[in-house]
Amino acid sequence: MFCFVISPRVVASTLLCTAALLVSPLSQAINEHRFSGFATLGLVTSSNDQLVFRRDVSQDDGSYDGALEWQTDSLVGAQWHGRWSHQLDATVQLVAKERFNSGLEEAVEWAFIGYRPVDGVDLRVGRMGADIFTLSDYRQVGYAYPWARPPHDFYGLLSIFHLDGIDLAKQFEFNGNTLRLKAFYGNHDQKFPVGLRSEGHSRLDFDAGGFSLAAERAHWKLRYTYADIKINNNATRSLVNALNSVSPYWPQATELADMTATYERRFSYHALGLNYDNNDWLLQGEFSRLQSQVGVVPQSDRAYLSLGRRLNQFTVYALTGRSKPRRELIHVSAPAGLPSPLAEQVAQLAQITRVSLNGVRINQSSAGAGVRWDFAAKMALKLQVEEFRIDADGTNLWLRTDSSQAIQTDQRSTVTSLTLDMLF
Amino acid sequence: MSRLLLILLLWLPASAFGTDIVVVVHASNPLTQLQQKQVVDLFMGRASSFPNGAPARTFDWNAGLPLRELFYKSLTGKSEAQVDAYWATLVFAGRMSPPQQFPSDQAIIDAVAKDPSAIAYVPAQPLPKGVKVVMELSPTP
Repeated sequence: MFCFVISPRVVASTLLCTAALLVSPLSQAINEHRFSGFATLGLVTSSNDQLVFRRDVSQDDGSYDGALEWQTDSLVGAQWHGRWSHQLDATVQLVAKERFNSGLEEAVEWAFIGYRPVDGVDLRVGRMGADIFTLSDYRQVGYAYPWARPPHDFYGLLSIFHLDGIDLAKQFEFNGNTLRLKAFYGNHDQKFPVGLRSEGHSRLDFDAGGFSLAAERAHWKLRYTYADIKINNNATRSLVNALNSVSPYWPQATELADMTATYERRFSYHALGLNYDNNDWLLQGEFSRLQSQVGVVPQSDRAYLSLGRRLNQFTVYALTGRSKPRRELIHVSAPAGLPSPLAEQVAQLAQITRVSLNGVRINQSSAGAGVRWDFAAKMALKLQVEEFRIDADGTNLWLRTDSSQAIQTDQRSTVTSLTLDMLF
Repeated sequence: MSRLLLILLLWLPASAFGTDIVVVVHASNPLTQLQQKQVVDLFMGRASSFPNGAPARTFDWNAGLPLRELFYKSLTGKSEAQVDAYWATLVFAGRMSPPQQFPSDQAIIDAVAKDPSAIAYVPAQPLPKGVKVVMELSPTP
């Protein structure tokens, strides 16, 4: 999975734009090129033998039954930053890591041109971070946060790392607060694995737009984001068609087809983030509500809270999180009394529909603690232990070791992580 | 005995009580003085221009050098690791270019003397004509 395949639409367009910038006449020419990077070497083990722990839903493999995995959290990122004046710059960031669909196109996390007409105003065009949640812009840079990885209950579902589009930010001082307003719009297209080491996937192509407000004052940071997302593809076409075709015999099928459909359906996020850091104590929490018209993207609430204390080179912290659906389980019942083979076909369709609509639920909580040791410049070692409780009807952040078996009872797992984070 | 102690105390270099650090800019910069908050905003990536609107470029010391730790600690209260973690959030979000880093006084002073938009910090010392001091920091040990 650590491989690159050359199919670089985004890179090509960025390089063209960059070349155009290079030949344009610039006042205050700087011509500065900087290379920097980050890396994480991570080991993780999860104790549960039916559920596979993964960092987020973009991965099709992970740890189960106490196996030690290094690919889950390990990654390396390299960034080039070019600047030609105080107004114009460009950034390209490549990240190699374990992910389901791993080509160069996916490895290009960022590739954008930035324009700063005056200090405090930033316009960016290209591929850039989907700045919806607090860690969105740096969730792969382990050195930047205290934990082994972004809190699982909250960030496990979020596989949107970047958008191909545009954003505009304005930063200003107001009453001793630093305020930052940002509006963004872009497209994202991604394949998600449907099982452990599976070839199969589901694909979502969507447009996301929204705005965020962030305020910073002394030790406090507060942010709010609203994002509206519209799905452009018919990800569940065959299921919707099948349900519609049996609707003459199965009245509920029409309603189920409507719930399952994705084309031009929308979902939205409200996200609130709070951060306090007085250099000794640090507190960070986020809450997000997902509202949805899409059955396969269920309505849910997610939150996490972490408290840490710095002691010289060490930071000890506690971390807790929760992800909870706000929709009841959907009861799918095939009608009785249909003749064979229709009865069997409808029963099978009902089963697939049930799995599609209820299998996407995420209902879990966790509590854990860890320590970060900043043992050398730009290097940190972290040890983190978490206890997860996963509802039998809410295991979607995890993969099943046996995909033919439904999870019948509530599960627990102890996840232990050791990571070495670096900047270079 | 007490006389010997006095001599010893007088002989101890100022650095034993904390090096004085000066924040310097190019001699042609119209600024005469910067407030601590303005210096914090520049070195923590919150501002990319001087208070008068002229563009600014921050020059920093290589990671791991004692002066760097001392400067950020006395300016912001943050350790070098905290500062690097904070900068990582800006740099790898593509929001800011990391300050260019230098290994020595001489290299950093030369760079400031060549760049009208530069701002940097060095141990207090007699400075060449090309640069001028806009703030002094006296770290408490």
